[in-house]
Amino acid sequence: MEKKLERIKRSIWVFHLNTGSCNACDIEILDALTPYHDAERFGVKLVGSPRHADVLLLTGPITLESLPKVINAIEATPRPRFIIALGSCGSGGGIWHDTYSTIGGVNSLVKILKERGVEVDGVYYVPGCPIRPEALLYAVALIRGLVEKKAKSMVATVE
Amino acid sequence: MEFILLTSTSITVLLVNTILPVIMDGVERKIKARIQSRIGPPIVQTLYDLLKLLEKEVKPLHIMPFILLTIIAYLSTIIASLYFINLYTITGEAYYSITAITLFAISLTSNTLTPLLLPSPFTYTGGMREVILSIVNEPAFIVSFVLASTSLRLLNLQSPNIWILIALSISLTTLVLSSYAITGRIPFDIAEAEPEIASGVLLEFSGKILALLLLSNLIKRFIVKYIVSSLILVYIIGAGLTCLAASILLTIALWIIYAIVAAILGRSRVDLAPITLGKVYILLLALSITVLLVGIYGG
Ligand code: SF4
Repeated sequence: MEKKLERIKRSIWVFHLNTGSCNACDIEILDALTPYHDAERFGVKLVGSPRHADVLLLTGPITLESLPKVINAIEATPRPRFIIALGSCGSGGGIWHDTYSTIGGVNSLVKILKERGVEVDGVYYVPGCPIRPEALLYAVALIRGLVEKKAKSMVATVE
Repeated sequence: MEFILLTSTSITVLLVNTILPVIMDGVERKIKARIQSRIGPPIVQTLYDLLKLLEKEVKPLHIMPFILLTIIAYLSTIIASLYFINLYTITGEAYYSITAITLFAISLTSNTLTPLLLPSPFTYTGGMREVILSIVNEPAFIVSFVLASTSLRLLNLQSPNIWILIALSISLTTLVLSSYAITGRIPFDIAEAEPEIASGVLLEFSGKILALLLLSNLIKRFIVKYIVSSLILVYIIGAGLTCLAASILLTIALWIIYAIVAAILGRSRVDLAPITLGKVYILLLALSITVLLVGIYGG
């Protein structure tokens, strides 16, 4: 993953992929791209087509309705491709994690992608409801190797 | 010997001319950022972008051979045009400038063809907008170039004919205006139109092909300014290597001016920009031709 990250880290072109969010996370993405936060100083550029993108900014739980389109968009992104899962919904499904109309967050999506033979080179998680623009910039800085990872995954078992 | 020297100089300058647009695009992005009170990307950002795209996967298109053909035609004619402008600036021979401008027109046509080959509605819409812009811009660019060079040849600096001087200023204004519009900057960015047709003409391309197209577009931006610069400077300081260096410097200065203008202008309605531009061109060219004829036959 490190090697693939090396290829894109100086020029991160992002494609905004709303998979069923409430739109609050999307507004925060737009905020991160405004001159105030100036994401372009990290080489970030918002692109209009997944074919140009390196990173997909995924917001919201993945609804059953949007799933085929989400898979299409991910397949259309040339490799190496990464996903930044935004918000509680994107990261783990949020309050919709077990509802009838969604598959949950990005983890369930990656599983489905694997089954279909669609590879993703890495996933970054930005929790929050909604995310703060600074948190999104932190993820970008993490990709560029400017900051340290803040959290690590742990599995707690209750005896 | 002279031929070898000329060719090697032109090829060296050609390499500089290919790298320079990439750096200048970075400068333009930096200028835009400073005008918007932000830090902006580093000056070499566009170079990073292109290098990254060269390493990315290419998503196949079902008519790939045709697409490749038009892109290669675009890139090769645009580089050949650059080569002939260099020759013109060094030697001052008019036929080099005519060859350069002909090759440039061919390159623009092959560029217009590429998006029309794709079945995507977004690309097609962008392609049609590119066609409309080309119909308005290209004749104006070529005619104003011919008028400006004719006026320059007729102008005697010791005792300038006032009519020819007026014709020259009008044709140079038209040339600069059309060279701005050809570069696809705001408000003439309707073919790519990122806000409403999602990158338009570029939508379906990825990886190395996208990198080639972006590089060709940057060279196109460079050429239109370079043609104007060398036309003026060959007349003022005479052809030669000094003129070549001065032309490159003037091109850089023009690029910075265009960047500032683009950063402070807003987008306009899709149909409004080409129509207004067409009307302005007709007026300016008619005026320039009339004044030039008065200068030749009446003055
Ligand atoms: S994380 Fe919160 S703000 Fe973001 S999409 Fe989900 S519910 Fe909306």
